[in-house]
Amino acid sequence: MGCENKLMNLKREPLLWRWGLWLVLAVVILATGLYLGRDVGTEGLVRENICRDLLAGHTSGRQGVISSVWWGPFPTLVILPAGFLLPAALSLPACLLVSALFGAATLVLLEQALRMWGAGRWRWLLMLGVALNPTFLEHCWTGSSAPMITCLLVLSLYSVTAWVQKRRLLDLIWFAFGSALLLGTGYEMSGWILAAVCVVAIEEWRRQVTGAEIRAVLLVALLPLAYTTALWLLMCWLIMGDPLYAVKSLLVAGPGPGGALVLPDALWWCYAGLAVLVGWMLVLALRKHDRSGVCLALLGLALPGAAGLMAWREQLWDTAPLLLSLLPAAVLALGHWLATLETNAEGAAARCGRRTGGVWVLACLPLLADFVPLALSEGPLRTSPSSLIEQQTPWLPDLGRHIRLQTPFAKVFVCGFESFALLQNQASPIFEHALDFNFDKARHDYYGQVLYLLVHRPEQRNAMDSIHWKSRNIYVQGGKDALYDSDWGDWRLFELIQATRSR
Amino acid sequence: MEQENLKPAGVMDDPLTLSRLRPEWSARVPITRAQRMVLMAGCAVLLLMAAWQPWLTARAFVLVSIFFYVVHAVYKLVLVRFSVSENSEIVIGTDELAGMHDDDLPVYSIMVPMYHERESVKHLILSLSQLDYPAGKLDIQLLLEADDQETRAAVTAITLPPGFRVTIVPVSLPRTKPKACNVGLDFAHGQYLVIYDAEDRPERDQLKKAVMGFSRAGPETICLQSRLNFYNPRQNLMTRLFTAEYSAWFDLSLPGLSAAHAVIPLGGTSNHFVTRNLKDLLGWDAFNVTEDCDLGIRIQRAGYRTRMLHTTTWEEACSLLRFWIPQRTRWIKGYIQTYLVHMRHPLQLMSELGVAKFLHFQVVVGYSTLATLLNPLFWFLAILWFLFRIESLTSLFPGPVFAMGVTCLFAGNFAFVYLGMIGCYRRRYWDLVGYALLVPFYWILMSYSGWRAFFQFFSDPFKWEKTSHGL
Repeated sequence: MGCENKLMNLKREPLLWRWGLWLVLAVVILATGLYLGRDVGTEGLVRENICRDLLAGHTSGRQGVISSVWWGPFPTLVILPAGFLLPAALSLPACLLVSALFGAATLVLLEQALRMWGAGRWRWLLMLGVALNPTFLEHCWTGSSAPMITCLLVLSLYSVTAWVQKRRLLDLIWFAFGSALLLGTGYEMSGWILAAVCVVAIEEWRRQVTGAEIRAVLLVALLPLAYTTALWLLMCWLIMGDPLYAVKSLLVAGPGPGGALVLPDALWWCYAGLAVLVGWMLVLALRKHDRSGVCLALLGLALPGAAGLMAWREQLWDTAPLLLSLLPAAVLALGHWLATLETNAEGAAARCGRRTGGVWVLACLPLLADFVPLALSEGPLRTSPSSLIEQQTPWLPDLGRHIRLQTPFAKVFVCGFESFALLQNQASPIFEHALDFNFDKARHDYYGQVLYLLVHRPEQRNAMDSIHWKSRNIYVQGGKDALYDSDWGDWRLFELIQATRSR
Repeated sequence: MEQENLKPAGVMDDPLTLSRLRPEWSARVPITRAQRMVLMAGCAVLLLMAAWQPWLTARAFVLVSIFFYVVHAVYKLVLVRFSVSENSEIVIGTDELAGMHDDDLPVYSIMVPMYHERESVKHLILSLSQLDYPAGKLDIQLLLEADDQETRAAVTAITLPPGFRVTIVPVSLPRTKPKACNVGLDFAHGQYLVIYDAEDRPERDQLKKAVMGFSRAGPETICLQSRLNFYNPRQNLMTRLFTAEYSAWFDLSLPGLSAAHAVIPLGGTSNHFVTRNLKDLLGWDAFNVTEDCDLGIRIQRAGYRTRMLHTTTWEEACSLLRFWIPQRTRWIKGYIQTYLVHMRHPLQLMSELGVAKFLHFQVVVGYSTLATLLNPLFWFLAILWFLFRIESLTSLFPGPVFAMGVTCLFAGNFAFVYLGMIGCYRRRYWDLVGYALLVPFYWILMSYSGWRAFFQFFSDPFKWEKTSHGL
């Protein structure tokens, strides 16, 4: 393959350059976000507070890390050490640092991948397209896990393509760890990971090597993935008492109760455009019998495919990282095709190829940078409900007073992951996180006290909180032991009925 | 027919020259008085602290241990990353070898120390005869102990090919391989020199690669270490696990160390030297039971360098536990000796090696040995917690320490298992990749040997537990 010949002549740039570029980009992203006054989003707040509880040795911290596939442990575990690195005087949330670092890493990885393939100077323009994409930046600025997901996706996608192309062990290892960590970010990417594993398996099967070699390749590629899964199950068993606790929302709750992904219409068109672009790259790769290009484009298309599957299961609200990942995937596919154009021809044909590539890049740039929706929308594209919690929390002291008016000996169990964001600055001992709420245990532990349950409206990710699959329809109908008390923003308060124990 | 060298000559007359001229470089005194006092003072302070503040002392101990576990795990992964860099090994292509002319090749000395290895003689002579090197430029010495009648008889029974000769090592203490090598070094007249074990089967073109490697590496490189691996990896479970370990060590860790310009503890055989420089370094320390590791450090201290050569020598993997344990005991005991010898004057060591290599030495020789001793304690704590959920244990691991400990337990150990798999994969031992998953059981044996070595270091520091071959 022409691309491979060129690869041989490409020297890696100094390590210092890559690390330096990464740090500079991270600082720029972080500083811009702070300058524009972006707030930490709900996800960032939740993960920050899980880390705080974890370090304090609280059970809620441990439960928060592993108890749901919708809140994967890896982003939280990365925020944990980042908190140590940040000087306290900065009072900067660690999730912002992590998002900026992973956002910058996405860009550096893209640049490296395109350079290794030989995409020429156009790579800088492609990278710029991603760097200026407002949706991407918004996720970086709000402490979301989406930049981490896109970064790991770029790593896995590039590695698996390079593996198909060159069969270097190092690429297989990067793919193995990239996909394992991707699984650790949560449920969203599992469909894509499955597709990637299938590509590796089919590629091995197609090569007609010995069974032992196929097993060895699959073992090296899949062991980190299997280990991550096993570890998650083990942790669930140790902390939650049920190895399948994290996936129960999938097994028991079934399709999600709906709730749409709140995106401007123009952005949908952008994603559709990116999918068409990747589809076209697939056609071009098929025509040139470029196996690595086909693999890359297929896995790129697997992203909207997985999003479609989730939409079919009424979990459309959780597809934002999948759709965002389409952006770097499209850049990789385009870059790979450009490299083929540059390397497969010489002389006048090469110049013509370069011009064609340039036209393609310039044509796709507005699509990559979301310029169209930017032009159409009146305000910034804010996909993350960053101020949600701030808008809701003013009623929390009122709720405290409301409870104390009735009894000074009360306990309010706040259900679900958003409780970490809701109770972030709440020192009142009457509130307690409840990720694994159990009526009988609560009654036993707090015998004699008046107990309340605060449940979030079952929409989007909140619908997957354990309280909703343990007590179906509790928000609407209450439970057999839970009586409706009052509404507080998107939350509903229930009082738990306690039978008098005979003495 | 034996053609014996009986009369030593030159500076290296005495195989114990190193210990006589530079006693500070030798393990003849295993632990100096100053070191003993420091160790005893350290133990006393630890005991006093444990008596005064037992819980705090235990927490501090756990904190320090876990910190080093994290450092070690990260270090190993970084080495693997280095091992795939371009300068990790000297790779000689077949076209380069084809361009070499016999007339230009220097005399190459090969030394094979043998002791009670009658059964290996034929194979050894056959495999050395097959080396792709002009016979007239080979200087092969079979180093036989004077009282080893069976091996001497086996050698006498064979007509040695041209280039072979026998050197008799006089009976004296200590009865170690490095002492025999020092005797042989005195007779070696090749420009380069290599050590092989009796059961070794080097690749045919290894010597030519080494000659080319030295010319390419530059004058500061006086030692090239070949990769070692086994020709019997599938004999039983023991050899499979041993192969996984060796593949990770020689194919990943050592090339990584070489690329990082770190100290390289030499492997037991297939070390190629520039003979003159080796003599300047006074050869091997006859009192060190891992003389190769010690020499690797001394090479760096003298300002020279060791690099990895992309060629393999095939050895026999120890297949029986009753031989594997003593062999590993000796290796770990030798690492303890080496560490203590070079840490007699830590500041001097740091100034000679530089800070980076000094830290490499601490991790590669010091901590890896200490880890084999510490592991059982932490396995025990982990088992206690998993089985009985003893809550008081959790107070030994406050927040950040717990986080580091969990990372080591789940990520660090997995990384070490995975390294074994990658080692097998790189060696194209496809069927052994899966066996690397069983490596944790192998670690238990290593820790057992570690403690055995620790006690033997004090009771019998120079004891050389010979590994039997041809099993």
